Amino acid sequence: MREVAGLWSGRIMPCVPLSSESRLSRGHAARMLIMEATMEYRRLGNTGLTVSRICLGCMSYGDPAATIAGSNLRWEWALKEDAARPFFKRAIDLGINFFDTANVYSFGASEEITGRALREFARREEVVIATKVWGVMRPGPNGGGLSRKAILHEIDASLKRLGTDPGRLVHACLAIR
Amino acid sequence: MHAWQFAKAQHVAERHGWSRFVSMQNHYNLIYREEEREMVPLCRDQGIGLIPWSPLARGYLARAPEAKGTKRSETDRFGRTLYSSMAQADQPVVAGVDKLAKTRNLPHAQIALAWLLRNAAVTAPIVGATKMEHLETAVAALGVQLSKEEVTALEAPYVAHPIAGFS
Repeated sequence: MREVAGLWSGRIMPCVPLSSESRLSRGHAARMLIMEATMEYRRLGNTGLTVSRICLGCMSYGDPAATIAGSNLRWEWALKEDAARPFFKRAIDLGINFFDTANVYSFGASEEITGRALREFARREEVVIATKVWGVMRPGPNGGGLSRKAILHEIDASLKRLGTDPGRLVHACLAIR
Repeated sequence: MHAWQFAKAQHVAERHGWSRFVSMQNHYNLIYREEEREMVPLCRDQGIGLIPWSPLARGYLARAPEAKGTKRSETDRFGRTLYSSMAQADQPVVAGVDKLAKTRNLPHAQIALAWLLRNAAVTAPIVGATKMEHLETAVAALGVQLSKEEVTALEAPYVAHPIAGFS
């Protein structure tokens, strides 16, 4: 266990140190820093998965109008697909290979947008997508939760929306609250 | 979730020969550090990857206190529940980020993210972006190193918080 844990904190690519010029002006600084910073990657815990040290959270990509009966969840700030797509392209260009979404974000729209964008912009064997199960996806019995039935059904539904198959692309991250 | 619940889940998985959880997505940032008590050491000990959510505390750590927030900061109801009760106690921490951002001439978000990234237990903070600069600023945080003195100053005003993000 200890040997494997050692691997987990290993830095795979070093970060290029910043030059003093890059701190000249604030507006400028962000842009200049990007050019100089190299994406870092880490092992995700004891798994063999290699992920970027910045994970793009995809809750803000979806459908501001998404709603289901009986739920007051809303993502009013969410960007629709056309507005969201450039973020995935830029993320890939910046070396991000780690994306986090959930079945419940915009009630499935976040996964659909994430799946379509990454199929277009990324090599599927390189990216790691984490999604979640637990949130209520529809009114009625077994519409959410962490029963075996709900988990298996929702993972299938998530894989369909993400447009992928397990093992290849999806690291199912089960969020238990 | 509580660390004892996570330890129990791992124990149950192991006893039955099931897959153990390999990552923990927890609520962790400069104004919510309760995870440092049990969850972070547990995950570090067990080789569980930490992927904290809300690393910028719904934007509070991503801008000057007087700056206008995003549409999300006005409409994210869950986000509002996370930090409203301790807003006053958080003010000195937010002010510390503001001060350091101005001293170092860096975006606020880079200070808050650099603080998380320097922690070897943290695999990757989950950063949302509704403007391209959010994304670019986050990636650039990888190039920001904080000195020991800067870290001490950022952490010093923190006080214990009631649990937020799960019940």
